[in-house]
Amino acid sequence: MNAEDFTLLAERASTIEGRQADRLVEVHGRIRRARRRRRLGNVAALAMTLALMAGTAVLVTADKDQIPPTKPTPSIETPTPTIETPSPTIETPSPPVETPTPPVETPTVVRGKAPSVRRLTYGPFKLGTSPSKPGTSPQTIHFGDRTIDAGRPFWYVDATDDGAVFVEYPDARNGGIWFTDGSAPVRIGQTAGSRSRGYRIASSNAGSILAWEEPTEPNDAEIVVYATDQRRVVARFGVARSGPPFSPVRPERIEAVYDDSVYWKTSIDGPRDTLMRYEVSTGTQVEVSRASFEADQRNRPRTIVVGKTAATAVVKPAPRFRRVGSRLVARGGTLASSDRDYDSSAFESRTGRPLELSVPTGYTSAEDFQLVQWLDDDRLALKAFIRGSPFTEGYIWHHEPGDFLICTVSSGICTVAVQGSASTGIVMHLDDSSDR
Amino acid sequence: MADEADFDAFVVARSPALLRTSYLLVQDERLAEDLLQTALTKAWFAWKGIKDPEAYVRRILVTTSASWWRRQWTREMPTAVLPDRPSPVMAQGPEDGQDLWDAIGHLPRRQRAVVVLRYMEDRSEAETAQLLDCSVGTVKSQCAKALAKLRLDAALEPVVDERSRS
Repeated sequence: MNAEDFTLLAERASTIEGRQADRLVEVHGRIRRARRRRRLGNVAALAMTLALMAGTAVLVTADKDQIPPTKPTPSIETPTPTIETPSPTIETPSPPVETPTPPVETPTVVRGKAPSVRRLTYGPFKLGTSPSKPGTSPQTIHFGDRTIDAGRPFWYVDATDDGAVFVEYPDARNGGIWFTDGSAPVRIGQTAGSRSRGYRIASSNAGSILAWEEPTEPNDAEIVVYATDQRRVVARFGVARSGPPFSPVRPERIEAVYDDSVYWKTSIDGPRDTLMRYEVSTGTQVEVSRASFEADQRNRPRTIVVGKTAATAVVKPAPRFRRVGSRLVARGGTLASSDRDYDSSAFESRTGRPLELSVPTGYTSAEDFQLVQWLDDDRLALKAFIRGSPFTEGYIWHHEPGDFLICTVSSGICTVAVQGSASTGIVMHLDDSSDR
Repeated sequence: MADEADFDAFVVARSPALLRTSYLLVQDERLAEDLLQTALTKAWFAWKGIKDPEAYVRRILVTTSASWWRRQWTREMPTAVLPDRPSPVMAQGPEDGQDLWDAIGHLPRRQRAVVVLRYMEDRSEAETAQLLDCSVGTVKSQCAKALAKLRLDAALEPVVDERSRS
């Protein structure tokens, strides 16, 4: 193999003629077809906008006619949980109290709230610098249209309906947790982790609840449940810390957080996990089966399942997508990590409706996308990865640069909400464990 | 209309050279024509704002071929006619080039594009970097990796004539 070999091949390629005679005509034919498609697309978009406007107007009129003018004030009567035992109290579920009101499966103070709306939350990160250097870590948080000065470098950022929560750059093994609603950040706790494993706070897709594992001495830890709307810890219960002494607490102990409950495992190293559900409204703990947990997950709003069919699909908190033209195709869909890159289908878990998302026509900046945040029951935010395909490497480097797209589930239309730059990455709650 | 006339003149004058690049990227005459026409169609819609049409179209060729590659690399291509495979003896000599052609076809899309632009189109590292929208350093490293892969490719291993063993 030498330079002459390449030259020889290049010369051979020059002999290719293709359809020289018809090319210009064929190109103009393609241009005409593309124009027609664009025109049809514009007409369809206009028709859809008009239909949506008409539908909204009808709904507003109907609401005025049917709904009484005064809404009941949501009762915020959270009984203060009194869980102070070092080990979790396991209670068998008590039979429902006989009341004339219809039975409610999981009574909660937050269900009477206004619909949960969340703002897109992230922190910019200067690429080309090491995230392990405090001087180069981000200090600014974007929370919707607001920019918040965190006042200190941070490692990780997440959100609730009430504000942004972040883990400061740790000076030791554990990182301080701070919360801000736009005003000066307030320290609300401390989470365990390590610089290599990262620091994770579990948050609900809707509402105000956060949960994290906080280390206590000598080798124990507590799970802390915090309500950002009340700005207070609503529960704190002891758990046996796993692993050898001084090993970091494992964030994956907390399985899922909702606005009315927290699912967590009593052990993460044993042969069988015992799965517990902490009820926020009553402060009680109940041991639950994995089947019951999965059934609860599937019945929640803002839950996507991925698989070949809606029936066999599995819950994915942060599903990944690949762009095919302007369509987004879900990836993975089985529990086997080796299958994570297979094309699949995504469905809304509760309704079984296919999730059919499309990026704007002509959007070619990225091939790979991941769901990173729900903004409300019908809108979600995707992170686009503009530098190659981090998924094919088997991991997600959450400092990757890229755009944010906001997609409407009901229409499938995605629009670019934040234009990323090649030199600016992001920090947010997206990490490897999000894809479990 | 002046724009359209310019575009037509450009297609007539420059498409043979662009077709060559297209063919080197996809290694298939039919696909090369399709790729070129796709790139020209895309360029037409941006024609008024393009300063250097040829560079623009070349860049579309490279990026579009990469996206096609991503979509099609696992797909089986049905064909009625089996491709002619040169006999090992015919492919032995470096003057034939079939083995090198095959080995280039085995390269990942980006490395293949770098080899095509640098060694077959004889472009500078800076030009290649501009066309691939990457740094000169990336071009150098992709080049080195591509050449290393080509050296190791089974298609380029010398064929030992079975008869000469006995």
